[in-house]
Amino acid sequence: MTTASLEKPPVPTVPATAQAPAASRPSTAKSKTILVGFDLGTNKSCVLAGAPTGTDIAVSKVVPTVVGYVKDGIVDGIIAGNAQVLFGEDALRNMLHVRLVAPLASGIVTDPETTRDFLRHIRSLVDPSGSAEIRAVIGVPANAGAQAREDIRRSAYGIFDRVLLIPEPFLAALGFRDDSRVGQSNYIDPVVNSLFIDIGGGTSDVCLVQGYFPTSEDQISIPFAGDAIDELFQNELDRVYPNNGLSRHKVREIKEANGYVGPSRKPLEVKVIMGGKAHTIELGDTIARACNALIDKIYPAITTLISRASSDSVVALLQNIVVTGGGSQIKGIDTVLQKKLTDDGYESPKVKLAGQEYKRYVAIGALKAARAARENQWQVLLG
Amino acid sequence: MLINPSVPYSTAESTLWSDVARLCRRICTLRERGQMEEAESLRVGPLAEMLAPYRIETKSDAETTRRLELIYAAEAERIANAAVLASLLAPLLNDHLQALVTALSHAAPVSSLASHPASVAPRAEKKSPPARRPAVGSIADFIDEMIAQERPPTRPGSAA
Repeated sequence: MTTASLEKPPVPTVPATAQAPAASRPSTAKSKTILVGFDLGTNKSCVLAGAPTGTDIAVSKVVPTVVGYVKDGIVDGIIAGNAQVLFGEDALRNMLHVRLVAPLASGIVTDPETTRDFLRHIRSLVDPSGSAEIRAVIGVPANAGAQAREDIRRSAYGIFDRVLLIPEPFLAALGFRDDSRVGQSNYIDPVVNSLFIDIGGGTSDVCLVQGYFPTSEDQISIPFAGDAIDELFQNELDRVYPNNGLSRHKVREIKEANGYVGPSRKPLEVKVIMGGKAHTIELGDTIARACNALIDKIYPAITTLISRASSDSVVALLQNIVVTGGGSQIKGIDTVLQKKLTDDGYESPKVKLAGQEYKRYVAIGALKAARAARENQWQVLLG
Repeated sequence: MLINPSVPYSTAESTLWSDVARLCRRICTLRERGQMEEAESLRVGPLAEMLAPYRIETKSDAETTRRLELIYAAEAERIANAAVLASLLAPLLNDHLQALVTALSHAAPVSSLASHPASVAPRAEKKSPPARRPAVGSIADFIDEMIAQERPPTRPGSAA
């Protein structure tokens, strides 16, 4: 989460370690096993948990990926329970009294200790008693490097018992798939042939999903997403309305409520409070410039991956382009992408939005993967 | 076997402790696989029943428990070692079998391939996905592919 007082520490140097082996130590006796599907996002994380069998979801939560460390000298009773560390919404609600730290930037761990605190909190949500064996499938950005993956594994050591790291856009396709309709003649299975565009806070991931596990050539991760739009938008605002005093948090709220792509829509008047006084500002051009920058960044990746699809699959692929993640809520993103593809001569492209569950598809796919994983596929975390 | 060699046993005792060791091995295997409930039911059921007469006969709970702990420790280590060995062997076997399957599929006559359309996915001017299967695989198969991709490439010639 990005706010005025948010810290994004520099990437620490993590010593290289041996890759955790696939299975290596005897499990300690634990009362039960809980499977977790976890979308560890830069700004928001989604966690789903359930038993190894069945399809029930016992826990489903979306948590802002932020930790608040209570500042020294806060009077007793100000923070509920006099807690020293707050997480997610609690941390944001108390941002005046805490030092907010974002554990990730651009989808990768930038503060290992904060990440561990955040993961401990996630564990407490799914297993309050702390007695269960926790196996988590964790979504990682497409093309996440070995070091980025290792950093997540290290952060999860001692918190989750076993993990599997799987690229987010593929998990989104699994999550988006309606298992009850697979095999029906009128159902286009996204896992068979689709192009997934997952626009998050830190990265926009584009992935070709064609019935096999996407290779590195099938995935493109772009370090331009919600955060970058916020920054552009704020810069634009500062230019047009100097000394506006709007925090990054507020700027994001305005973007989430009014963001759009495509031709300028004016008037787009928004009421904001500056210096305690209400002002109505015109944002039509400002917000469009920031959001359209996203299109400029992701469109080349989309056409690159389309060009990599085989000639026999590409026509069907063009019918199944899905936009998910927070960026899918930017108004007009589906129609603008579809129009650009049409204008460029692609055959009847159809771009659709994943829908209202956009925050949960990666985690849904992760929980499906957790339930389907074979015993020898889980990775035991070693210190 | 797995019994502490420093402790002398009668034949009957030796048989008993061999049976106990087998059961402990089974329990450790189940735990390794995450089947905690099954492991626990073996521990409190057959294992406890097996040891009950011995506990009464020897009137020494402490000694029985001590021997049992030794056996558990030995079996747990054995299963852990086996798991590590399996994790090392599995990728090698996987590579070997994949190479074998690839070689066989290349050697197969065209007519037999034609009955599996997806296996002859066109290698047109565009890229062809790796190791296509006849149909969309299970999620576990996808994970296998992912793990194979994450593995460092084998040296040239090693898969031949």
